[in-house]
Amino acid sequence: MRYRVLASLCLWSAAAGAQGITLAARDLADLSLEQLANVAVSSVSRREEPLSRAPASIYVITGDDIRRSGATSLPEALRLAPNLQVARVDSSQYAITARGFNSTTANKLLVLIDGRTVYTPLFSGTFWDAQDVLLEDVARIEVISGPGATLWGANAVNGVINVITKSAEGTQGTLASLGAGSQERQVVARHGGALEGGHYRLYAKAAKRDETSLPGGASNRDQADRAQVGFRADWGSPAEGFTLQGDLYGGEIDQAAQPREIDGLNVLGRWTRDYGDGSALRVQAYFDHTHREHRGVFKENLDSYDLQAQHALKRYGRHRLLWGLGVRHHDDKIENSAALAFMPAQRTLNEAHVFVQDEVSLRPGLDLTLGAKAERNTYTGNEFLPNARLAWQPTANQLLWSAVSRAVRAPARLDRDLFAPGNPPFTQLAGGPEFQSEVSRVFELGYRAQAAQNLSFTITGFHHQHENLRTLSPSPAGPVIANGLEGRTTGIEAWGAWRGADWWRIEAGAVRLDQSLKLKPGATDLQAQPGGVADPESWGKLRAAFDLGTSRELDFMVRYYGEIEGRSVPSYAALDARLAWHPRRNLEVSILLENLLEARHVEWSPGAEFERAASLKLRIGL
Amino acid sequence: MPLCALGQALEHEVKAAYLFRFLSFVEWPQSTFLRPDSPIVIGVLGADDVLAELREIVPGRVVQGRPVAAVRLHEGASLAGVHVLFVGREAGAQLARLAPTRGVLVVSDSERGLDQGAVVNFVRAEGRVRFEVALDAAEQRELRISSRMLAVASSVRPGKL
Repeated sequence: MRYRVLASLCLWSAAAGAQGITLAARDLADLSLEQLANVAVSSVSRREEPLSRAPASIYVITGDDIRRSGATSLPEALRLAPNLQVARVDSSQYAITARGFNSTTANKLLVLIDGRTVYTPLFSGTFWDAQDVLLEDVARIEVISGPGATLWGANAVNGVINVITKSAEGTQGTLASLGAGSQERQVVARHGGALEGGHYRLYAKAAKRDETSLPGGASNRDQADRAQVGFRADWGSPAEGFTLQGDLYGGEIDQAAQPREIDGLNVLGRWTRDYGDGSALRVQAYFDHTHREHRGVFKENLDSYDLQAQHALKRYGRHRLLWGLGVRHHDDKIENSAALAFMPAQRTLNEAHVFVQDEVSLRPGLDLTLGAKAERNTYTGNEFLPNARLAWQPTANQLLWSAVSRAVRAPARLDRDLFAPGNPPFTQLAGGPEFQSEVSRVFELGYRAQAAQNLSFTITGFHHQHENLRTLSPSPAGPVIANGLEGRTTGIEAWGAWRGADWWRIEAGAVRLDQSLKLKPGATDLQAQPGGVADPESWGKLRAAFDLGTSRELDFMVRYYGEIEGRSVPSYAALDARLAWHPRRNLEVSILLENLLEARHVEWSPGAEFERAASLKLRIGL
Repeated sequence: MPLCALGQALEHEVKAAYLFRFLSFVEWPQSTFLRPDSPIVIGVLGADDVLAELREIVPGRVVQGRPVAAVRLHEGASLAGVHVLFVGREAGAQLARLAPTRGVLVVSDSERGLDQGAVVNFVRAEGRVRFEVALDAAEQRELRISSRMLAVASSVRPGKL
C-alpha cells in the first residue's frame, strides 16, 4: 500500500516531526467515514512519510475508538491503550503509568493536552481528578511508551500521552449528549461556528459521580461533582495558522473527612507557519492556573507560564533538522496545615530547555535519528537528555527499530520541600535537600508489520536501567527522602489489529513487565515495597468492534490485570459491552454495560470496589 | 484550518478510500446482484488516479459478504452490473447525460453534482474532502443510505419519504 500519513503539518509533528506520528498501521481505507472527513489533503505531495515508520512504541487512540468505548472521562479513554496501566482508585482518582512505577502520584509519565503540559510540579505527575477534555472533541490520543525526553523533556521517562483535539473547523454545528447510569450522570453541549477567516467552538460538560464502596461494603464517601467549559478558535490556512483555546473547570469531591475542591483555568495560543518546502515554525504560549484544596491537609494555588518555539528545517542533503527552545515558570503557593507542610510554602520554579534533533537518511529505508536536549531546572541545574534511534525498513510493510535514550525525572516539590507533620520536629517525613534526579537509561528494540492487508501488529522489547530512585531513609530526626534505590525494568509490549471483514475488527494487546529493584549499598528504605513501587507483572486488553447492518454497532472490551503483589490487589478481568443504534442522522442511542465478568473487583489498594454498572447515552447533533 | 487533522494524504487517495468505505453504508436492491456472492462493482469514469488507488484497496476485501471490484468505464459504456459509478472531475460534463439507473450509486466530483443527478458528491472544504448526499436521488434509484453515513455528510438534501 502506498498510503502515506504525513505528519508534517500536524500539531505535534513539529515536535513529532522526526518521530513521525503514524496511525498504528491503519491505512486510509480502514479509517471510518468520520476519520476520512478529518484527513487534511493536499493536491501536491509534501513530505511523504511511509506509514508506520515511527521508531518508537506508539499506540494511537482515535476519536472514533473513544466514542465506541463509551468512555466519559479522559482516564477512562486511556484504558484503550494496551501500553498503559490504568487503575481506578475511587470515583475520581486514578493511578496511570506506562512500563511500571504506578501510583496515584506516578511521576514518570508526561501528559499533554494540545501541547499544554498538565503535570503538576508538586509531584511530577498528573492529578487525574482535575484534568479532563470534552471527549467528543478529541481527534486522537497518542500514547508513547518509553522515553520521549529529547523532545518532551524531563518526566517523559516511561511514556508520553498527547491528547490532541480536533480543530474548530472539524467541530462545526451543535452537539448535545446526555448520559445516565448506575454510577454517573453527565451532560455535554458543544457549539461550533464560523468566524472571520476561521472557526470557533464552545463547550460545556458537567458530571456527577456517585460514591463508591470500599471492600467490605462501607461507603467510600467520594461522591464527585465536576463541571468544565471551554473554547477553541482556529484561523488561517495550512500555510499559516493561529489557534487560541482555553478551559475553565471546577469540582468538589468528597473524600471522607478531607473533601477536595479543585478549580482551574488555562489559555493557550499557538502560531504555526508551514513554508511548503519541508520547513515549518511553531510558537506556542500558555498560562495555566490551578487551585486545589484538600481540606485540613493543604491548599495550593499554582500559576504556570510556558513559552516555546520549534523549527523544522528544510531537508539538507541527508539531514532533516528539528530544533526548539522553551521556558517555563511556575509560581506555587501552598497553605500548610498541622498535618503537613511544604517548605518554603511559596516557591518559584523555573525551567528552560533547548533541543536539537537530526534525522539522517543513511540509505533508502535506513534512518538514524540523533537528538539531545539540555534542560535547566531550579532544583538540580542542568540535565542532559540524549537519544539515538535507528529505523530500518526492509520492505514497505515492515519496520525494525532500535533506540537508546537517557531520561530523567527531575525533583518535584514532593521530593525536596515536603515535611510532616506541619510543624517541627518532622518526625514522620522530611524532604531531601540532597534529592537528585532519578535517571533511566533505556534500550528498546521494536518490530512493526503490516502482515496482510487486514492484519497489522507491533512488538517492542525494552530494558530500563534505573538509578537514584526515590527512597525513604531513616535519619536521627526522622525519615528523609533520598535516592537510595536502583535496578531495572525489562519487558515486552505487543499489540495488533485484525479486520476480519468490513463489518468487524479485533484489536488485542498485552504487556509483560519484569522489575528488579534493589537498595544501593548502605541505603535503607522505610517504604513497604522498595521505592514504594508495585506493578502487575502482566496485563492484556482485547477489543472487538462489530457494525451490525448499517445503523447498529456492537463493541466488546475485555481487560485483564495481573495481581499487584506489593499492594495486595488480586488479578482481575473486566468485560464491558456497548450497543449503539443510529435511528437517524445525527442521533445515537447507546447502552454501556461495565464489569460484566465479576460482581466486584478492586484495581488499587487502598481503593474502591467496582461493581457491575449500566448506563444509557443519547447523543444528538444538530 | 486543518493543522491538526488525523494526518495528511493526497486528495485522490482520500476519495478512493471514501468510495470503498461508502460500500458498507449503502443497501442495493437485491436484484442488482446476480448471485449471493457477486461482487460489488465500482465503475470509474474519468479519474484514473482514483481508479489506481481503488485497485490497490479492493483486492481481498469483502463488504456485505461480497468481494469488491473496481473497473474503468468509458464514455457511453453500459452501467449494467455497476453498483457505484464515480464520475471524475474531468468527466463531469457527462453527468447530466446519465439517465437515472436503478441500483447505481452515482458519485460525482463537481460543484453542481447533486443538481445533475448524482447521489453523492465530493466537496473540498478548507483542506478536507467531505461529501454531500441527495436522498431524493437515492430513493429514485432504490438505494438506501445508512444514517451513519448521513451523519458524516457535510449536507443532506432530503428525500420524499
